[in-house]
Amino acid sequence: MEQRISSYFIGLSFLLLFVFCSADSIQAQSKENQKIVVDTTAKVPWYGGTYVGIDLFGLGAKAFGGDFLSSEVSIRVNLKNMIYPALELGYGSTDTWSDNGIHYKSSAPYVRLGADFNTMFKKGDVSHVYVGLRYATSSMKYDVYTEPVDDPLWGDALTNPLLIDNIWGGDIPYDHRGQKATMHWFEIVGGIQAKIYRNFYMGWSMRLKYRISSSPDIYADPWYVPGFGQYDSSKIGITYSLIYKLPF
Amino acid sequence: MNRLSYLLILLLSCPFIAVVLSACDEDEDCSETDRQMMWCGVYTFLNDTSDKVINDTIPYLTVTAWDTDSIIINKQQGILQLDLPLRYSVDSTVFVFHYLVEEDEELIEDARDTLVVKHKNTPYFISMDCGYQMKQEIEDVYFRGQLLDSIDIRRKEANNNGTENIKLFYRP
Repeated sequence: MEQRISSYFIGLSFLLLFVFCSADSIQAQSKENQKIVVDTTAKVPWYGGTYVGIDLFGLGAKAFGGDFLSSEVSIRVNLKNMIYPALELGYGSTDTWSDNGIHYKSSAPYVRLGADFNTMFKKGDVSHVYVGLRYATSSMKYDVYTEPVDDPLWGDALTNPLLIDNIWGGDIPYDHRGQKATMHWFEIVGGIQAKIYRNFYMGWSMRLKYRISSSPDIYADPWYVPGFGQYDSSKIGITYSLIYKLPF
Repeated sequence: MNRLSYLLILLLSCPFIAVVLSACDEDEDCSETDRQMMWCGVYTFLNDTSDKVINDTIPYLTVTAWDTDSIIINKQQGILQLDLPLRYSVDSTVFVFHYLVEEDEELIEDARDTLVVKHKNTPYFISMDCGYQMKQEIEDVYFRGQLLDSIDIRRKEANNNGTENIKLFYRP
Protein backbone atom coordinates (compact mmCIF):
# COMPACT_ATOMS: atom_id res chain seq x y z
CA MET A 1 0.00 0.00 0.00
CA GLU A 2 2.83 2.38 0.92
CA GLN A 3 4.46 1.72 -2.46
CA ARG A 4 1.26 2.85 -4.17
CA ILE A 5 1.14 5.98 -2.04
CA SER A 6 4.81 6.71 -2.72
CA SER A 7 4.29 6.21 -6.44
CA TYR A 8 1.40 8.65 -6.30
CA PHE A 9 3.51 11.34 -4.66
CA ILE A 10 6.49 10.76 -6.90
CA GLY A 11 4.16 11.13 -9.89
CA LEU A 12 2.60 14.23 -8.43
CA SER A 13 6.03 15.73 -7.80
CA PHE A 14 7.11 15.11 -11.40
CA LEU A 15 3.94 16.77 -12.66
CA LEU A 16 4.36 19.80 -10.42
CA LEU A 17 8.03 20.00 -11.31
CA PHE A 18 7.22 20.00 -15.01
CA VAL A 19 4.48 22.64 -14.69
CA PHE A 20 6.43 25.01 -12.51
CA CYS A 21 9.79 24.56 -14.20
CA SER A 22 8.07 25.56 -17.44
CA ALA A 23 6.77 28.68 -15.74
CA ASP A 24 10.21 29.24 -14.31
CA SER A 25 11.93 29.03 -17.70
CA ILE A 26 9.45 31.47 -19.27
CA GLN A 27 10.15 33.97 -16.52
CA ALA A 28 13.86 33.34 -16.85
CA GLN A 29 13.78 34.10 -20.58
CA SER A 30 12.09 37.45 -20.01
CA LYS A 31 14.78 38.39 -17.52
CA GLU A 32 17.56 36.90 -19.58
CA ASN A 33 19.95 39.77 -19.52
CA GLN A 34 19.13 41.13 -16.12
CA LYS A 35 21.64 40.77 -13.35
CA ILE A 36 20.38 40.44 -9.82
CA VAL A 37 22.61 41.78 -7.11
CA VAL A 38 21.80 40.53 -3.62
CA ASP A 39 22.93 42.75 -0.80
CA THR A 40 23.72 40.25 1.96
CA THR A 41 24.41 43.03 4.43
CA ALA A 42 20.88 44.41 4.16
CA LYS A 43 18.91 44.24 7.39
CA VAL A 44 16.42 41.35 7.41
CA PRO A 45 13.02 42.46 8.73
CA TRP A 46 11.60 40.76 11.84
CA TYR A 47 8.42 39.76 10.09
CA GLY A 48 8.86 38.03 6.77
CA GLY A 49 5.36 36.74 6.12
CA THR A 50 2.87 34.09 7.15
CA TYR A 51 2.58 30.75 5.35
CA VAL A 52 -0.59 28.67 5.39
CA GLY A 53 -0.30 25.09 4.18
CA ILE A 54 -2.48 22.04 3.73
CA ASP A 55 -1.09 18.53 3.98
CA LEU A 56 -1.87 16.31 1.01
CA PHE A 57 -0.15 13.18 2.28
CA GLY A 58 -2.86 12.31 4.82
CA LEU A 59 -5.60 12.72 2.24
CA GLY A 60 -3.66 10.89 -0.50
CA ALA A 61 -2.79 7.98 1.77
CA LYS A 62 -6.46 7.27 2.43
CA ALA A 63 -7.37 7.68 -1.23
CA PHE A 64 -4.78 5.05 -2.12
CA GLY A 65 -5.97 2.41 0.31
CA GLY A 66 -4.60 3.46 3.69
CA ASP A 67 -6.52 2.88 6.91
CA PHE A 68 -6.20 6.43 8.22
CA LEU A 69 -7.66 9.67 6.89
CA SER A 70 -5.90 12.77 8.06
CA SER A 71 -6.26 16.41 7.07
CA GLU A 72 -4.11 19.18 8.41
CA VAL A 73 -3.64 22.93 8.17
CA SER A 74 -0.33 24.47 9.13
CA ILE A 75 0.57 28.08 9.88
CA ARG A 76 4.21 29.17 9.91
CA VAL A 77 5.44 32.68 10.53
CA ASN A 78 8.75 33.86 9.11
CA LEU A 79 10.78 35.76 11.71
CA LYS A 80 14.08 37.23 10.48
CA ASN A 81 14.04 34.56 7.74
CA MET A 82 15.55 32.28 10.36
CA ILE A 83 12.96 31.12 12.89
CA TYR A 84 9.53 29.89 11.82
CA PRO A 85 7.13 29.38 14.76
CA ALA A 86 4.60 26.80 13.62
CA LEU A 87 1.09 25.77 14.58
CA GLU A 88 -0.44 22.68 12.98
CA LEU A 89 -4.08 21.75 13.46
CA GLY A 90 -5.47 18.54 12.08
CA TYR A 91 -8.19 15.96 12.24
CA GLY A 92 -7.67 12.24 11.85
CA SER A 93 -10.11 9.39 11.60
CA THR A 94 -10.30 5.68 10.90
CA ASP A 95 -13.08 3.15 10.49
CA THR A 96 -11.37 -0.16 9.92
CA TRP A 97 -12.10 -3.87 10.05
CA SER A 98 -9.18 -6.20 10.58
CA ASP A 99 -8.84 -9.50 8.72
CA ASN A 100 -9.73 -11.36 11.90
CA GLY A 101 -12.95 -9.44 12.58
CA ILE A 102 -12.03 -6.57 14.88
CA HIS A 103 -13.79 -3.27 14.20
CA TYR A 104 -11.95 -0.11 15.24
CA LYS A 105 -13.50 3.32 14.84
CA SER A 106 -12.06 6.62 15.97
CA SER A 107 -11.87 10.29 15.02
CA ALA A 108 -10.29 13.19 16.84
CA PRO A 109 -8.46 16.48 16.35
CA TYR A 110 -4.81 17.01 17.12
CA VAL A 111 -2.53 19.99 17.55
CA ARG A 112 1.19 20.51 17.14
CA LEU A 113 3.16 23.52 18.29
CA GLY A 114 6.81 24.25 17.67
CA ALA A 115 9.30 26.07 15.50
CA ASP A 116 11.57 25.51 12.53
CA PHE A 117 15.03 26.81 11.95
CA ASN A 118 15.97 27.86 8.42
CA THR A 119 19.39 26.27 7.88
CA MET A 120 20.06 28.59 4.95
CA PHE A 121 18.97 31.88 6.48
CA LYS A 122 22.25 33.59 5.48
CA LYS A 123 21.47 33.08 1.79
CA GLY A 124 18.24 35.03 2.06
CA ASP A 125 16.28 32.66 -0.24
CA VAL A 126 12.55 32.29 0.18
CA SER A 127 12.93 28.57 -0.55
CA HIS A 128 14.79 26.81 2.20
CA VAL A 129 15.74 23.64 4.02
CA TYR A 130 14.79 23.55 7.68
CA VAL A 131 14.93 21.53 10.86
CA GLY A 132 12.54 21.88 13.75
CA LEU A 133 10.81 20.55 16.81
CA ARG A 134 7.17 20.03 17.66
CA TYR A 135 5.20 19.22 20.76
CA ALA A 136 1.93 17.49 19.88
CA THR A 137 -1.12 16.15 21.62
CA SER A 138 -4.38 14.44 20.81
CA SER A 139 -7.34 13.34 22.93
CA MET A 140 -9.39 10.70 21.23
CA LYS A 141 -12.43 8.51 21.64
CA TYR A 142 -12.51 5.06 20.09
CA ASP A 143 -14.80 2.10 19.67
CA VAL A 144 -13.45 -1.44 19.56
CA TYR A 145 -15.53 -4.56 19.16
CA THR A 146 -15.62 -7.98 17.63
CA GLU A 147 -18.79 -9.30 16.08
CA PRO A 148 -20.01 -12.70 17.34
CA VAL A 149 -19.75 -15.58 14.91
CA ASP A 150 -22.99 -17.52 14.51
CA ASP A 151 -23.34 -21.05 13.25
CA PRO A 152 -26.69 -21.04 11.43
CA LEU A 153 -26.57 -24.82 10.94
CA TRP A 154 -26.12 -25.90 14.54
CA GLY A 155 -27.36 -22.73 16.21
CA ASP A 156 -24.14 -22.25 18.13
CA ALA A 157 -22.41 -18.91 18.51
CA LEU A 158 -18.94 -17.75 19.48
CA THR A 159 -19.21 -14.38 21.15
CA ASN A 160 -15.56 -13.68 20.39
CA PRO A 161 -13.49 -16.12 18.36
CA LEU A 162 -10.36 -14.08 19.15
CA LEU A 163 -10.44 -14.57 22.91
CA ILE A 164 -11.04 -18.24 23.55
CA ASP A 165 -9.95 -19.95 26.74
CA ASN A 166 -8.39 -23.01 25.16
CA ILE A 167 -7.54 -24.60 28.52
CA TRP A 168 -10.70 -24.09 30.56
CA GLY A 169 -13.15 -23.52 27.73
CA GLY A 170 -15.44 -20.61 26.86
CA ASP A 171 -14.85 -17.35 25.04
CA ILE A 172 -15.04 -13.77 26.17
CA PRO A 173 -17.08 -11.12 24.30
CA TYR A 174 -15.44 -7.82 23.58
CA ASP A 175 -17.52 -4.73 22.85
CA HIS A 176 -16.20 -1.53 24.36
CA ARG A 177 -17.32 1.67 22.71
CA GLY A 178 -16.63 5.24 23.71
CA GLN A 179 -13.20 4.55 25.18
CA LYS A 180 -10.97 7.55 25.81
CA ALA A 181 -7.24 8.16 25.62
CA THR A 182 -4.83 11.07 25.48
CA MET A 183 -1.33 11.01 24.07
CA HIS A 184 1.50 13.53 24.08
CA TRP A 185 4.51 13.27 21.82
CA PHE A 186 7.28 15.31 20.27
CA GLU A 187 8.59 15.39 16.74
CA ILE A 188 11.98 16.10 15.22
CA VAL A 189 11.31 17.66 11.85
CA GLY A 190 13.44 18.02 8.76
CA GLY A 191 12.04 19.46 5.56
CA ILE A 192 12.28 21.57 2.51
CA GLN A 193 10.02 24.32 1.22
CA ALA A 194 10.33 25.54 -2.35
CA LYS A 195 8.64 28.40 -4.12
CA ILE A 196 6.77 27.22 -7.17
CA TYR A 197 4.88 30.26 -8.42
CA ARG A 198 4.26 33.72 -6.99
CA ASN A 199 2.94 33.15 -3.46
CA PHE A 200 2.60 29.38 -3.87
CA TYR A 201 5.08 26.95 -2.35
CA MET A 202 5.26 23.23 -1.82
CA GLY A 203 7.21 21.21 0.69
CA TRP A 204 8.09 17.87 2.18
CA SER A 205 8.78 17.26 5.79
CA MET A 206 9.93 14.07 7.43
CA ARG A 207 9.21 13.61 11.10
CA LEU A 208 10.56 11.34 13.77
CA LYS A 209 7.82 11.07 16.37
CA TYR A 210 8.45 9.95 19.94
CA ARG A 211 5.77 9.27 22.51
CA ILE A 212 6.17 11.25 25.73
CA SER A 213 3.16 9.82 27.57
CA SER A 214 -0.17 8.21 26.97
CA SER A 215 -3.18 7.36 29.09
CA PRO A 216 -5.11 4.56 27.38
CA ASP A 217 -8.47 3.30 28.53
CA ILE A 218 -8.64 0.28 30.87
CA TYR A 219 -9.87 -2.01 28.06
CA ALA A 220 -7.69 -1.03 25.12
CA ASP A 221 -4.65 0.70 23.78
CA PRO A 222 -5.65 3.14 21.07
CA TRP A 223 -4.69 1.65 17.71
CA TYR A 224 -4.66 4.93 15.82
CA VAL A 225 -3.54 8.25 17.26
CA PRO A 226 -4.52 11.22 15.03
CA GLY A 227 -1.41 13.13 14.00
CA PHE A 228 0.90 10.37 15.20
CA GLY A 229 -0.22 7.31 13.27
CA GLN A 230 -0.39 3.77 14.51
CA TYR A 231 0.03 3.63 18.29
CA ASP A 232 3.65 2.89 19.19
CA SER A 233 6.53 4.37 21.13
CA SER A 234 7.96 5.98 18.01
CA LYS A 235 6.95 6.47 14.43
CA ILE A 236 8.18 8.06 11.22
CA GLY A 237 5.80 10.42 9.46
CA ILE A 238 5.67 12.53 6.36
CA THR A 239 3.85 15.63 5.28
CA TYR A 240 3.55 16.83 1.73
CA SER A 241 2.14 20.32 1.69
CA LEU A 242 0.87 22.94 -0.66
CA ILE A 243 1.58 26.30 0.92
CA TYR A 244 0.32 29.81 0.30
CA LYS A 245 2.12 32.88 1.55
CA LEU A 246 -0.40 35.43 2.75
CA PRO A 247 -0.01 38.79 0.99
CA PHE A 248 0.60 40.69 4.23
CA MET B 1 20.39 27.75 -4.64
CA ASN B 2 17.85 28.70 -7.23
CA ARG B 3 14.27 27.58 -7.32
CA LEU B 4 14.99 24.69 -9.66
CA SER B 5 17.56 23.28 -7.25
CA TYR B 6 15.05 23.31 -4.42
CA LEU B 7 12.46 21.62 -6.58
CA LEU B 8 14.97 18.98 -7.63
CA ILE B 9 15.92 18.27 -4.02
CA LEU B 10 12.25 18.11 -3.17
CA LEU B 11 11.69 15.62 -5.96
CA LEU B 12 14.74 13.47 -5.29
CA SER B 13 13.85 13.16 -1.64
CA CYS B 14 10.62 11.31 -2.58
CA PRO B 15 12.15 7.89 -3.30
CA PHE B 16 14.43 8.20 -0.28
CA ILE B 17 11.51 8.86 2.03
CA ALA B 18 9.51 6.07 0.41
CA VAL B 19 12.40 3.63 1.06
CA VAL B 20 12.72 4.78 4.68
CA LEU B 21 8.99 4.38 5.24
CA SER B 22 8.96 0.89 3.75
CA ALA B 23 11.98 -0.16 5.83
CA CYS B 24 10.29 0.99 9.00
CA ASP B 25 7.12 -0.98 8.34
CA GLU B 26 8.02 -3.97 10.51
CA ASP B 27 5.78 -6.83 11.53
CA GLU B 28 4.25 -6.23 14.92
CA ASP B 29 5.48 -8.19 17.93
CA CYS B 30 2.40 -9.92 19.32
CA SER B 31 4.05 -11.67 22.27
CA GLU B 32 1.91 -9.52 24.59
CA THR B 33 -1.11 -11.59 23.62
CA ASP B 34 0.45 -14.86 24.81
CA ARG B 35 -1.52 -16.37 27.66
CA GLN B 36 -0.71 -14.88 31.06
CA MET B 37 0.01 -17.44 33.78
CA MET B 38 0.13 -17.49 37.56
CA TRP B 39 3.73 -18.36 38.49
CA CYS B 40 4.25 -20.20 41.78
CA GLY B 41 7.57 -20.71 43.54
CA VAL B 42 8.14 -23.71 45.81
CA TYR B 43 9.76 -23.10 49.23
CA THR B 44 10.32 -25.12 52.40
CA PHE B 45 10.87 -23.90 55.94
CA LEU B 46 14.21 -24.97 57.37
CA ASN B 47 12.47 -26.86 60.19
CA ASP B 48 9.15 -27.04 62.01
CA THR B 49 9.75 -23.92 64.09
CA SER B 50 11.87 -21.78 61.79
CA ASP B 51 10.67 -18.76 59.80
CA LYS B 52 13.56 -19.13 57.34
CA VAL B 53 12.83 -20.70 53.98
CA ILE B 54 14.85 -22.20 51.16
CA ASN B 55 13.99 -23.01 47.57
CA ASP B 56 12.75 -26.54 47.22
CA THR B 57 11.31 -28.92 44.67
CA ILE B 58 8.22 -31.10 44.64
CA PRO B 59 9.38 -34.63 43.70
CA TYR B 60 6.31 -35.59 41.66
CA LEU B 61 3.17 -33.55 41.07
CA THR B 62 -0.04 -33.73 39.11
CA VAL B 63 -2.31 -30.68 38.98
CA THR B 64 -5.92 -31.04 37.89
CA ALA B 65 -8.75 -28.62 37.36
CA TRP B 66 -11.26 -29.02 40.16
CA ASP B 67 -14.56 -30.63 39.25
CA THR B 68 -13.34 -31.63 35.80
CA ASP B 69 -11.18 -34.37 34.39
CA SER B 70 -8.71 -31.88 32.90
CA ILE B 71 -5.07 -32.43 33.79
CA ILE B 72 -2.98 -29.28 33.79
CA ILE B 73 0.31 -30.82 34.92
CA ASN B 74 0.78 -34.56 34.56
CA LYS B 75 3.25 -36.41 36.82
CA GLN B 76 5.91 -33.76 36.48
CA GLN B 77 9.16 -34.43 38.32
CA GLY B 78 11.33 -32.08 40.41
CA ILE B 79 9.13 -28.99 40.27
CA LEU B 80 10.81 -25.78 41.34
CA GLN B 81 8.32 -23.37 39.79
CA LEU B 82 4.78 -23.87 38.48
CA ASP B 83 2.93 -21.83 35.87
CA LEU B 84 -0.82 -22.24 36.16
CA PRO B 85 -3.52 -20.87 33.81
CA LEU B 86 -6.39 -18.91 35.35
CA ARG B 87 -9.85 -19.12 33.87
CA TYR B 88 -11.04 -16.43 31.43
CA SER B 89 -14.79 -16.70 31.82
CA VAL B 90 -15.15 -16.70 35.63
CA ASP B 91 -13.34 -14.90 38.43
CA SER B 92 -12.12 -17.89 40.42
CA THR B 93 -10.02 -20.92 39.51
CA VAL B 94 -9.62 -24.06 41.60
CA PHE B 95 -6.60 -26.33 41.27
CA VAL B 96 -6.06 -29.69 42.92
CA PHE B 97 -2.45 -30.61 43.69
CA HIS B 98 -1.85 -34.39 43.76
CA TYR B 99 1.51 -35.15 45.40
CA LEU B 100 2.85 -38.45 44.13
CA VAL B 101 5.37 -40.92 45.51
CA GLU B 102 7.10 -43.74 43.75
CA GLU B 103 6.23 -47.20 44.93
CA ASP B 104 7.15 -50.40 43.12
CA GLU B 105 8.10 -48.37 40.06
CA GLU B 106 4.67 -46.76 40.00
CA LEU B 107 3.55 -43.28 40.99
CA ILE B 108 0.72 -43.24 43.46
CA GLU B 109 -1.02 -40.33 45.17
CA ASP B 110 0.29 -39.63 48.64
CA ALA B 111 -1.36 -36.35 49.58
CA ARG B 112 -3.57 -33.65 48.13
CA ASP B 113 -4.05 -29.86 48.43
CA THR B 114 -6.76 -27.70 46.91
CA LEU B 115 -5.92 -24.16 45.85
CA VAL B 116 -8.63 -21.55 45.21
CA VAL B 117 -7.52 -18.43 43.35
CA LYS B 118 -9.80 -15.38 43.19
CA HIS B 119 -8.89 -13.12 40.30
CA LYS B 120 -10.12 -10.22 38.19
CA ASN B 121 -10.24 -10.65 34.40
CA THR B 122 -9.96 -7.72 32.02
CA PRO B 123 -10.04 -8.38 28.26
CA TYR B 124 -7.64 -5.90 26.66
CA PHE B 125 -7.31 -4.86 23.03
CA ILE B 126 -3.67 -4.69 21.92
CA SER B 127 -3.88 -3.92 18.20
CA MET B 128 -5.63 -4.87 14.98
CA ASP B 129 -2.87 -7.33 14.04
CA CYS B 130 -2.41 -8.91 17.47
CA GLY B 131 -5.97 -8.87 18.77
CA TYR B 132 -6.70 -9.25 22.46
CA GLN B 133 -4.98 -10.16 25.68
CA MET B 134 -6.67 -11.26 28.90
CA LYS B 135 -5.21 -9.30 31.80
CA GLN B 136 -5.62 -11.19 35.06
CA GLU B 137 -5.03 -9.82 38.52
CA ILE B 138 -4.85 -12.17 41.51
CA GLU B 139 -6.98 -10.87 44.36
CA ASP B 140 -6.75 -13.67 46.90
CA VAL B 141 -5.61 -17.26 47.29
CA TYR B 142 -7.08 -19.84 49.68
CA PHE B 143 -6.05 -23.43 50.26
CA ARG B 144 -6.91 -26.51 52.26
CA GLY B 145 -5.31 -29.91 52.33
CA GLN B 146 -2.45 -31.90 53.73
CA LEU B 147 0.97 -30.51 52.80
CA LEU B 148 0.82 -26.78 52.14
CA ASP B 149 1.71 -24.67 55.16
CA SER B 150 1.08 -21.16 53.88
CA ILE B 151 0.92 -18.96 50.78
CA ASP B 152 2.20 -15.48 50.10
CA ILE B 153 1.06 -13.31 47.16
CA ARG B 154 4.11 -11.50 45.80
CA ARG B 155 2.80 -9.95 42.61
CA LYS B 156 -0.82 -9.67 41.56
CA GLU B 157 -0.56 -9.44 37.78
CA ALA B 158 -0.42 -12.75 35.95
CA ASN B 159 2.32 -12.62 33.35
CA ASN B 160 4.13 -14.54 30.65
CA ASN B 161 7.70 -13.69 31.60
CA GLY B 162 8.15 -15.97 34.60
CA THR B 163 7.77 -13.34 37.32
CA GLU B 164 6.72 -15.09 40.52
CA ASN B 165 3.16 -14.37 41.65
CA ILE B 166 2.81 -16.53 44.73
CA LYS B 167 5.10 -18.43 47.06
CA LEU B 168 4.03 -21.90 48.19
CA PHE B 169 5.50 -22.77 51.60
CA TYR B 170 5.84 -26.35 52.84
CA ARG B 171 7.03 -27.76 56.16
CA PRO B 172 9.74 -30.39 56.05
